[in-house]
Amino acid sequence: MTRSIAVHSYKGGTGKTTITANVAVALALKGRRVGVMDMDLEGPGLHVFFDLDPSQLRFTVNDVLAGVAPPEAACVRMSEKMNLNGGEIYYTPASVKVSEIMRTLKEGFELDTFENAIRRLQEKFGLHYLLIDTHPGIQHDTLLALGICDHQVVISRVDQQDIFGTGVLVEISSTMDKPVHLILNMIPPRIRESEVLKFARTLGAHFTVDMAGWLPFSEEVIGSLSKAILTLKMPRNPMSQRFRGLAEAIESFA
Amino acid sequence: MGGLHKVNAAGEGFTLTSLPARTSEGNASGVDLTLSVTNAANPGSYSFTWTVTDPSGGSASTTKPVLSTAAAWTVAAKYPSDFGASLNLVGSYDVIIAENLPSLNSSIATGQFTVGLTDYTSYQRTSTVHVEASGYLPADNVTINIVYGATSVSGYPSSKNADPTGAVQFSWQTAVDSALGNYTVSLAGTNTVAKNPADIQQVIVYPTNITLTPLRTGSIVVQRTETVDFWFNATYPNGAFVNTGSAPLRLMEPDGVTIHTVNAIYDLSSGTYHAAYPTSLTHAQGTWTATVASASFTDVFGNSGPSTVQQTSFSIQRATLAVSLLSSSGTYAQGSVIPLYTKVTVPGNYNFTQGAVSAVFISSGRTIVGPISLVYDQSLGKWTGSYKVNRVDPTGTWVVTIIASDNYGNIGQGTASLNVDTQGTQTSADLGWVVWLLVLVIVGLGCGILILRRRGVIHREVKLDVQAIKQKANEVKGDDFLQSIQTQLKRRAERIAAEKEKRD
Repeated sequence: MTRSIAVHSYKGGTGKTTITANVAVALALKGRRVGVMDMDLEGPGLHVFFDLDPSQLRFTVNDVLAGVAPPEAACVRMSEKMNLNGGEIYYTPASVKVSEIMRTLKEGFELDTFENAIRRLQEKFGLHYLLIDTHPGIQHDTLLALGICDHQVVISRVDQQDIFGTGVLVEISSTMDKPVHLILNMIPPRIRESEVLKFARTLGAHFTVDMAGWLPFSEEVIGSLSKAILTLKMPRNPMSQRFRGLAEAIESFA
Repeated sequence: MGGLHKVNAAGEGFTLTSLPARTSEGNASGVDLTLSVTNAANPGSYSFTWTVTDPSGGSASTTKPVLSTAAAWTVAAKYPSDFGASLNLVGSYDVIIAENLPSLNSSIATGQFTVGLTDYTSYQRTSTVHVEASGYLPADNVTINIVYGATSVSGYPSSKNADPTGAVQFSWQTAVDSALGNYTVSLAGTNTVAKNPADIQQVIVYPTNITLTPLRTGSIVVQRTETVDFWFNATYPNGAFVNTGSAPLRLMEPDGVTIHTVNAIYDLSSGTYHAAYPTSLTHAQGTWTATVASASFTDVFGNSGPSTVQQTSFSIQRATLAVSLLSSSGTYAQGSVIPLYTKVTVPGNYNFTQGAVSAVFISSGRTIVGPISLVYDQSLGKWTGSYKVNRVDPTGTWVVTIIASDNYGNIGQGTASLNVDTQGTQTSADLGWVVWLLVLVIVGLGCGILILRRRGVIHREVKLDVQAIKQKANEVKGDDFLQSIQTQLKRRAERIAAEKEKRD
C-alpha cells in the first residue's frame, strides 16, 4: 500500500526540498518505488536536484491540476538516469513558466483532481511512497494537499521565528487527523545532540507531533547549491547517512 | 431484541422483547417473546394475544391470560411451540401483541426476529460456518450450494439427506485464503415442496486475526557491532502456523525518539519469523525497545495481527575492541625501528577502521615514549606505526600497550613485550611524564570551557512560548478558509466511507 507523505514547512529555506530529494533517493536505493511530486507551485525547485528543465517537458503537475493532462503523462521516470540500483523514482515536476504558475495560482485546483492524481500515480506505478514537496506557509491549497496525504512531515530550523510558526502549523495540521512528524534541520554545530533531542521531547510534550529526526548544518549540503543529491553523489558522506536515517524513519511510519 | 414500547390509556406500559433476536431454522429452543408490563392494575385480570407473521405471509397466534398481583410483571410466549407453528423459513418474523383484557387494544407492542440458515451472518477466515435447515421431507435428498460471485466454492454443490425430523445440518470450513466478501448459502429439497421464500442466505467472510507469540531476542545484552536477533511464531485462530508475509519491527533507541526498522520474515530452517538487526559502533548505548505494532503483521492473503503490541527490550553496550599486536616481539638495538602492526577487531568480528589507535612503550613502570598514533592501512587491514630506538632509551624488557578507541566510547587494548638492547637514562622518560601531564591539563581545560559554552544553547536562544503558539493557532482555526478546508475534507472522508460501505 502506498503511503503519501507531504513534506512541508512554515518558512521557506528550511531545506524541505533538499530533504525531499535526498530521502526519495535513499528510499529508492533501498529498492523502493518512490513518487516525488513538486507541489511548490509558486516556487518549484525539485527539478534542479533532478537536473531536469520542466519547460522542455510536455506536461507538468500544473496541467494535471488544470485537468489538461493525466498524471502519468506529467511523470518522469528517473531511475535509469540516476542509476538507482533496482529502486524507482517517478518525478512529477511543477511548471517554471510564469504564465502557467500564475494560471494555477489564480484558478486553484479541485480537491478531487488532486486526490485522483495521487491515486492514479500510486496505482499506475505501484508506488511504495509518494513524497509531495509543498509550498511553505499556511495557505488554502497547501492545507488541502496536507489533508489528503497519509502523513505530514514538517521541517523546521531551530530559530525563534521558525519554531513559533512550526508550532502553529503543527497545531493546525493535527486537526486533520493525520500523523504529523517533525524534522529539525540545519542544527548549528555548537548545539549538542542531547540538547536537540531534549528540545524535540519538549515539543512533543506540548504538541501532537513525532520527532522523525534531525540534521546538522552541513557545508556540503549548502555548497552543493541544490544541484546535487548528496545521497546519490556522495553516499559515504555523513549527511548521506543522516538522510538514510530519515528514510528509515519514514519506513517506520505506522 | 427490544420491541416497541407503548403506554395505553389506562397508564400501563408494554415492551416486547424477542430472544434470541436471530436464530437458525429448526432451532429447538425457539424464540422467547416476552411482554413486560409496568403500572399494571393490582389486582387485575389481563389477557394478551401474540400473533407472529412468518416470511411467507402466514400467521399464527397464541393467547395468554394473566392474573396481576404486582405493578410490574412479564408474560412470555415461545415461538413456534406455543403457536403450533414451525421455524422453517428464512427471513424476518413480525410479532404483534393485542390486549384482550381488561381493555381491547389491537396493538400494545410489536417486535421482530430473524431466522437464517447459519449460526452467524459474518465469519473470520478459518472459522467454521454451521448451517442448520428444517422443514424438509424425512430422508429427502437436499442439494446444498455455497456460491461466491457466480462460482460455487470448492466441494459444492453437494447433497445430503434430511434426517427423520426433516432437518439438514452441515458445516463449511473457511480457509486462510478464502475470498473475502459475500457468499450465498442455499438449500433445496428434491421432493419437498419448494419453500417460499427459498432457503437462501448470505454470509460475509472477513480477514482473520493472526496471533503472535511473545517477541524473543537472541541476546538481552549485546555489544555494538553485534547483531540482535528477534524471533516469534505466528498462528491463525485454528492453530495453523503462518508462513507467509512479514512484519516490521520498530526498534526505539534509549532516547525514546529515534526509530529504526527491520523486517521480520519467515525462516524456513527454524520455522519461525526472524529479524536480524546489525548494530554499529555509533549506536546509542542503553535499553532499546523492539516492537511489533498491532495489525502490522500481514500474510500474503491480507490477514493481519497481532491484536495487541508485542514488545521486548534489549541493551546495547559499548564495544570492547580486540587488539592484537603482530610481529613486534624481538630484540632491537639502538637505531633500529620497532614496527607496530596491530589488528583491531570489533565484537561483530570485522576490522575497526575509524577511530584512534595509539601505542605507549613502558619499561619498569615508566613511559619511554607514547602515545604514538597508528594509522589504518587499508591494503593490510591493520593499524601501522613504528618507533626508532633512541640512544637515551633504557635497555631491558619493554611493554608496548596499544589502545584503540573512538569518539563513541568504544575502547580496547592489548599488550606485548620486547627486548631492547641499548644504554639509556631515566631523565628523558621523567620529562616525558611532565610534558604529557601538561598536555592533558591543557586539553582538559579546553574541553571544560567548550562544554560550558555549548550547554543550553537552544534554550538560551530560542523561547518556546507554547501559550502564544496555541493562541495563534486557535485564531487560524477560527478562520473561514480553514473551516472551508475542513468541510471539504470531511465531505471527502464521508464519501470514502460511503464508497467503502457500498463495496462491502
